[in-house]
Amino acid sequence: MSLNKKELEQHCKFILSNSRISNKITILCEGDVYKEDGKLSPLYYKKMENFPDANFYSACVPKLWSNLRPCFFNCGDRNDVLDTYFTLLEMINEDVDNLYNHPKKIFALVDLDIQIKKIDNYHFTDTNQIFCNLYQNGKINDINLELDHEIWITGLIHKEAYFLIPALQSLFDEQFDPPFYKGNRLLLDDIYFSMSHDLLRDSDLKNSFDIACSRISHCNGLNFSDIDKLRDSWINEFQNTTDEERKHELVFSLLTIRKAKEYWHQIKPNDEWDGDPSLYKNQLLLAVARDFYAKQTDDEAAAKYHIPYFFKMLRKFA
Amino acid sequence: MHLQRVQVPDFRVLKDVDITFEKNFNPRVFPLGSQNGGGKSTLLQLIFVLLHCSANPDRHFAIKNLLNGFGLREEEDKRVLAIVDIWDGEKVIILEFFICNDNYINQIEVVDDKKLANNKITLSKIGALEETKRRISHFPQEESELQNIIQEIKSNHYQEIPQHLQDRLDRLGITEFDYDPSQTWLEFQIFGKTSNDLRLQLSQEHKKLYEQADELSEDVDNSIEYLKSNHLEYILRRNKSNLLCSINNIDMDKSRHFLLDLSNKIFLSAPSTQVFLFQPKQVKKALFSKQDSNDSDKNYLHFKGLDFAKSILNGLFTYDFLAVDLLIEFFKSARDNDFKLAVETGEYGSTYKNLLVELSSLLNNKVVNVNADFSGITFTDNRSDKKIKLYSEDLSHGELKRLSIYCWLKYNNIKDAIVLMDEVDLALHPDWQYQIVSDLLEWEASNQYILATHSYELCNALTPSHVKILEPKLTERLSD
Repeated sequence: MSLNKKELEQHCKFILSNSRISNKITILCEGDVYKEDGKLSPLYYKKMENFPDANFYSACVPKLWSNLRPCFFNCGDRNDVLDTYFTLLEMINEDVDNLYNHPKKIFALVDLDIQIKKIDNYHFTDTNQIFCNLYQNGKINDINLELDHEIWITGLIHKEAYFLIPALQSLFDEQFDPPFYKGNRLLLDDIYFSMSHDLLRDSDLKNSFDIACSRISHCNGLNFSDIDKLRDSWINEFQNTTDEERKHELVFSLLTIRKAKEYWHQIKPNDEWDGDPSLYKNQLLLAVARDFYAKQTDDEAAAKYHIPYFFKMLRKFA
Repeated sequence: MHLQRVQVPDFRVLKDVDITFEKNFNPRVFPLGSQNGGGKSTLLQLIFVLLHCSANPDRHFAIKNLLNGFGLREEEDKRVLAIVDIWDGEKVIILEFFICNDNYINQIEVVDDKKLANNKITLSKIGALEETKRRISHFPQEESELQNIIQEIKSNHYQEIPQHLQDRLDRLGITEFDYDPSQTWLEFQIFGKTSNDLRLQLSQEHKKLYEQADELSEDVDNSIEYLKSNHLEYILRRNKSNLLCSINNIDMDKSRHFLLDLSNKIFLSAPSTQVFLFQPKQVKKALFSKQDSNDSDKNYLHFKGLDFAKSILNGLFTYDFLAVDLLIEFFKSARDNDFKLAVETGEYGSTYKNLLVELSSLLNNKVVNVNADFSGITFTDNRSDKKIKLYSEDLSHGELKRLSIYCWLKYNNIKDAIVLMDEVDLALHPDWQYQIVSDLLEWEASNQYILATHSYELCNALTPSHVKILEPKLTERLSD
């Protein structure tokens, strides 16, 4: 899905006509653009049916940030987000008559993805360069944050990878209706094994293997000579470690190169769940955001789990 | 407790309402939206009054007021008011509240029941029973009145009983008695024939009423018991119709207990400027009337009525400017807890200290405390080096509202309850409208919250499926 020129313009106007953004930080993120017209009301929100990705990020904002909270907008795919970002800057720049609401600062947050996306007119030339600058050894590289990043790239391959990190196991276990994967109570380790076994059938990974390996080269013990060896070495290392930090490092490496969406989509409620499973997933996402990411407020945890650090950095601008 | 579903066929502006609040949703916070006049407040008040008041006769006035304008239509013996499904943690219990006439009751088939007079359910006697009980409650005044009459006769030594005294005696049910004006003043004083006669007659009159009440009570109790065996709970009688509740999926021996338990687990908070349907008709009418009263009289009536309602309906809370009394009570209870612990263990507890910290964090590090004599509360801003005393005008409406809600939930220990909140977002900045969902969950996550709102921001803190909408119905308003 990509927004055409007219849709992009309409979407940008929609954002700038929203009085909520005035003097606030505005964050553009991936996710379907809801195209219905109407007043922003409970009914308007109800009609969206799916939990907007923007609202996932919004729920990740720490509770202490209670005033001048950032505003989030779904903007389509990665290209759309970047297009929206640059179009908005242009429109604001040209808005000498103050026809629009002006945000305090605009940020874009896009998925890393296997493919590199070139970026024009920005102080980094592509998404990979931003990634390399933002992250070091799987964690946020806070030294480089001085470079004033306005386009942020996820440290893991997609947003969905953040729904599957090892630290979430206890949260899943504590759910009143715990999630299931392939007919059994969800054990994230099962997913990691599936993902590692499936490395071989990932054609995008095959095509961009060198790029992928360069992103996780810090992870000792992995064999990067080819995909087979990478798979085997990953499984071997994972099976033979009991250390939680090492496990975290291995899983984050895997989630940096292997697409996570298809595994997230296979997570379901148990059969007793009364209703549409997609509603269950929406609520699980909300719990992940509110009960986990929003609570990782100390520096070390924030750097380790990436998303909270993003908000720590943003807070300085609010 | 969880309110799982509510259906309202036709009550005031509510038409064909059928809303499900899924018990397995996480979190159990449900925004309830509609257009202005869509019936959000009406729905919340209807649910609250039925569930909070049905099992408690002292609160029946609220149901009677609420039912103003809701009656049986022509050729109708039964009319459903609301169907409420409650999840009690193990099963769904379905409560159908409906009004019906005696004809409907009479059609309930009575299988040979010796307790029932003529094998007939006779709720119509409830009116007579209530009237009898009302008269019985006036017995002390009647006895005192008779004493006054006797005193007057004694003092005046009438030749015959004057009409005004006869009228007063008539009102006591004493129509005939022997009065011998020839008896001397001394005889009247010593033997007291006339006064004894009068007292005896009143006592006989009272005895008759007691017997009548017993008889009626027995009939009514038997009828109510028989209704129970048909899964029906009698609630009240009003204007020749009865409000009953059909209860399904629970042992009827436990039904009353369940309704009582439920009445302690349902809460409503609303702005005090709201029109409350459980207020008396004249109070509601005065609010919209130009004649007879000025604005301050109307406000006085409204708030006086509300104070009365709050004194009886424990689950009702209004967002006033600041619930100072509640806050003071909260401090007192913290003090008492600490003292209790000191008595038990020799060490003072930290409840009071923790409360100060919690309240301070709630107010963005402004400090709230209570005067040493518990006569009021103080606010100070400790964020800079200097402590600055704050006045009421220095605190925002939103801050005070959050503080009030927090105190209400915490002081009343509202847990595992159904909390209905009307206009919770009012006076809150959009950021705080979003935040109030997390606040409520942090303050007490075991509750189910149903939040009547117009706020898009508040809804954004939840998933779209959490949001429930009262759809506008274009059908004619038939209720009134």
